[in-house]
Amino acid sequence: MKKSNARRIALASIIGLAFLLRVVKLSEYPVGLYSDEAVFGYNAYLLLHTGRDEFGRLWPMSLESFGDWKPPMQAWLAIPVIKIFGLNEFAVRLPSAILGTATILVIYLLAKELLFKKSTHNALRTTYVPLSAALLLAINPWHIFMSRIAMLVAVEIFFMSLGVLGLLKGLTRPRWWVVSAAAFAGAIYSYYGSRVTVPLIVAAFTLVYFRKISRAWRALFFPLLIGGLLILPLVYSSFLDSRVLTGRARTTSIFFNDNVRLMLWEARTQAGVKNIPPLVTRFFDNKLYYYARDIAVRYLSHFSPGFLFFRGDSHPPFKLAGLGYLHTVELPMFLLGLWLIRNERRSFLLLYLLAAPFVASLTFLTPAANRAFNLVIPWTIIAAYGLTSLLTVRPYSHAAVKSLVVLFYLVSLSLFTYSYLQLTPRQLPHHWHYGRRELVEKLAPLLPRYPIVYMSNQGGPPYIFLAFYLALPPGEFHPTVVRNPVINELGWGHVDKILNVIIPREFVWNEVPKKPDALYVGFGEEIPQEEVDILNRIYYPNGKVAYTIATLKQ
Amino acid sequence: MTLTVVLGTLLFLFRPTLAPRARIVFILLLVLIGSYEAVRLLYHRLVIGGGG
Repeated sequence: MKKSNARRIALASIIGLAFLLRVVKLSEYPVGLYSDEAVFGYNAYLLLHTGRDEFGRLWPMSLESFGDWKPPMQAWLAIPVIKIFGLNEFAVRLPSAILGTATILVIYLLAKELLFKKSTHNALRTTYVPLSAALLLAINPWHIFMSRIAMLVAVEIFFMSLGVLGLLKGLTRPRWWVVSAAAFAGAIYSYYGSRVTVPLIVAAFTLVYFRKISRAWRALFFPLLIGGLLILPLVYSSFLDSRVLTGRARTTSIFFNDNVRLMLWEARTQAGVKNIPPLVTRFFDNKLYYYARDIAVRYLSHFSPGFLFFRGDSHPPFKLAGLGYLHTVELPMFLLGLWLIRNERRSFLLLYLLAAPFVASLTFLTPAANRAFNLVIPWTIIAAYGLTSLLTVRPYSHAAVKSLVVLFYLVSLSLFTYSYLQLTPRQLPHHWHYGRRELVEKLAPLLPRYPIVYMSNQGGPPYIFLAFYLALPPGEFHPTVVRNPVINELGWGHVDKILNVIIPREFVWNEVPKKPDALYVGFGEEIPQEEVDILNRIYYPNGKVAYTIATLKQ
Repeated sequence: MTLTVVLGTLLFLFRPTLAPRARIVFILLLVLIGSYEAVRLLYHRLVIGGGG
């Protein structure tokens, strides 16, 4: 068999494996549908039927959602899938799984571009690095995890890595820069953070390849035009409503958070108590230093072994029970690869690695598995380079060493599988809003029988799950939704009512109106058993009560 | 000393790539930031009486 054929078959097998890992039991794992996923699904459903989102905006460039102004790409991609498969978990998550799989092909080509060109290494190594990168990404827990959910970033890193591939390929065939421009525009529509990451990566590329780019400057006109035209609707929408541009930043950015300001205030107060001259205080305790240090601390946290290998993200819903996101066996391979690319002066790959988690360090919930997700691409390429370099050099090329590496990966993959399929559903089902589907299924026949239903707001905003699982037609959704005009201090809105369901912002049993003909839905043990007749209960996989459906004792 | 750690890591990673002059500028910057953070730490520990 020809070598190129063998390589193609190997690549096709890796892509096949990646697709299986991303699509099998897609609607069942993660165990519940996260509220953001329900938002994308239901808005895609509304856009499919009316061209308007849940707020009645015609083809919006940003989905207002709960007040966090989500980028629209995930919903756009779900539209044709929902048309085919209907409004369900599988249809909402399938675009992530497909583009997650497509990223395997992109990383193969990217590794080729990043490491092959002018490579002084032996042919064996240059054959295996791209295949290793594809395989390592296919079995990467972080990438599998994100590709099985409709939470923006799996889609974003497909576009981002395709954009980077286009940039590199464009150095020899400038037509690829058109692909790059379109892909970067796609990334910007996919994820808020791309508005920072794309300029950073383009700047890094320009810095490293300035001479080559300046020789082909005429070829830049068309890609810039395409990129500009593609993001024009977003720019125009931002002029009409600034929240399209800054809405998400208001709920996540450190610059809209009081943390640094409070630290600075405390330091200056302490200095004032000690009668330190203001000039000295300002020299040591100033905004510039405090923000720079805050960003640096948050930035470094994304490279901490605790985050990457052992604990992961502590914020829902991105936590894996008992594990981080990368195979621990990859750490020595990554360090070796990093040493090699440093010495070979592969600056762009280094800058790609360093730029990837930067945007996450501008937000206050760090380390963040979703915002730093771009890290997985340069990480995998560098680890693949380290792995291949190690295994093609004697004495490490011995079969025993290779078998040991494979064994380590298998053990690590088994641990991930155990955590993903067993531990996480049992320990963290609430992170995934488990039980909302089961609740709506049990509520559906009851809703017409009760004039009014009081439902707890805990466990994920109920209105979006009711709309999603009942597949409410636009004609029923828009007239019955009552939105609360008050936006809370974190920027979140609230829906007070949908259909005949009233959703108090705080469901406190003593304050909820007691009506004999009303139905009550409480989260966990919110409703005291002695006061009600329980009609039904929904349990978590660990046996704890998720929701209680009840009426007042007659 | 977080900024010093970040700058030091960057210098280590890009040392082979940097031109000699850029390397000197980078080292000077590192010394400057490092000194500032060290003095600041001493100021907070000895004068203010906190961690800084």
